[in-house]
Amino acid sequence: MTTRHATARVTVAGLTKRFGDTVAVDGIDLTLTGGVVGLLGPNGAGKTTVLRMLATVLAPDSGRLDILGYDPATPAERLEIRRRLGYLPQNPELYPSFTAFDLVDYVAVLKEHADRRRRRLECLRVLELVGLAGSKDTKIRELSGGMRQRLALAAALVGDPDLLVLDEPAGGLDPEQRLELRSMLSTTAARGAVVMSTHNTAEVAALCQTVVVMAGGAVRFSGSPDDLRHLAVGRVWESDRPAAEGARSWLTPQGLYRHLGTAPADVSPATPTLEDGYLLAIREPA
Amino acid sequence: MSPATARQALGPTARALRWPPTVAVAAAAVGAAWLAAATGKPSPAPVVAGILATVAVTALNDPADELLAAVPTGRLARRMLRLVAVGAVVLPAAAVASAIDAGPNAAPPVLALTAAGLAVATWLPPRGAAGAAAVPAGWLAAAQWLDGLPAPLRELAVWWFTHPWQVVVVAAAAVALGRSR
Repeated sequence: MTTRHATARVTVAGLTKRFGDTVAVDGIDLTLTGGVVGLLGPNGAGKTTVLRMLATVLAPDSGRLDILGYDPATPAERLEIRRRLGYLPQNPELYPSFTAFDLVDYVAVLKEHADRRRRRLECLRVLELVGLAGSKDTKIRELSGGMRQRLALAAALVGDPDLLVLDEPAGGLDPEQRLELRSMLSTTAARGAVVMSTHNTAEVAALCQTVVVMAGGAVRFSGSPDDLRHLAVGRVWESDRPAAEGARSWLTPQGLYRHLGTAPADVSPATPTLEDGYLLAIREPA
Repeated sequence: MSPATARQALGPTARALRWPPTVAVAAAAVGAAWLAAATGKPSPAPVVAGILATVAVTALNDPADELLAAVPTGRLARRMLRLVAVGAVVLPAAAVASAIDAGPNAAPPVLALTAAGLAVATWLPPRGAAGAAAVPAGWLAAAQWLDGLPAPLRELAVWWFTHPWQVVVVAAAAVALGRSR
């Protein structure tokens, strides 16, 4: 068995996954160190497939994965990864008849927390972290969508994992809950690593040290949010009419058209945003 | 899965199951046996075994499977826990039905068909677990209605009832081979 790395990290080499004739993930390479890594991309980009492979839920067709120093292709090492992993799938189904505490406690049992007293304390800790301590005895069927999402997140947090794999964790959360999520994930990432998918560039700007942009199963960009924003330097401008040559343009609330693409010689470029960089990255290979 | 984990997980696993269909089918099986005995009809043991096994295999379908997919207690272990829980209802129901109609013991065929369903579920993608319930139902149907089959196929169609322990052994081997999937 390989030795565990001192810091949480994930290395991906030539990772490929097909579903029938569809290539969901097409030979991607990535190296992720600690902190929060945001996976951005349009629907069908392959984000969920990558996250499921990182969570050891789905085996790749080819390529190599090194997660926390272990190879998930080997059953014994996969078990070691799972002991150090928290996974939040997209729109997870829960047991409606369970209370919030029941669910987290069940997950803790399945995560091999055998000591009842410690397990209870751990369950209360994670419920507190997601702001559900006051609803611990409420049946899941009575929880709102946002509360269910936070409960599923609490289940992922059981055991203070070294690696958190989160598929759209902010889905269904209101702005205040998103803020709390950021706070919690940044704390978690300080001692491990968090890999999360999102459609929200503001989330990435606020939280992520690294951003990976995927489109069509391939990685189009990997770097810091500042680097992604930098992609759009000189390639975004505003004018009072739509530009025929612009790669993309839209009318802003200020009544100006914002254009992305190669700027005409006679216009002054605008200050780019992370979203500008993202839109350019998914349009053309980095 | 350690014995401690199995012990502690069994209770919540049982509570996670949808019991009304299981209990209703178990009651119907016992009722069918009673009706057959009361009216002097042949023992419905094969049908009782088939429907009880079908409801047992249906219990393999875990709605929270994706949420639990990356916990150290693997899918097969979690499914075994579900079968142990549901077995606490279907096996006594099979035994009671057999006692009422004085027919052959339906419990071993229930085990055989359930093991076959588990084996198929192990080889199917996780979301195909619900489809594995077609195995006991289909095998029961083959045994009941495919009378005109050539001898080897006819023996195969009733194998789960005539030699249930052989089926259990073969299914267990298939589960063992497919468990790392």
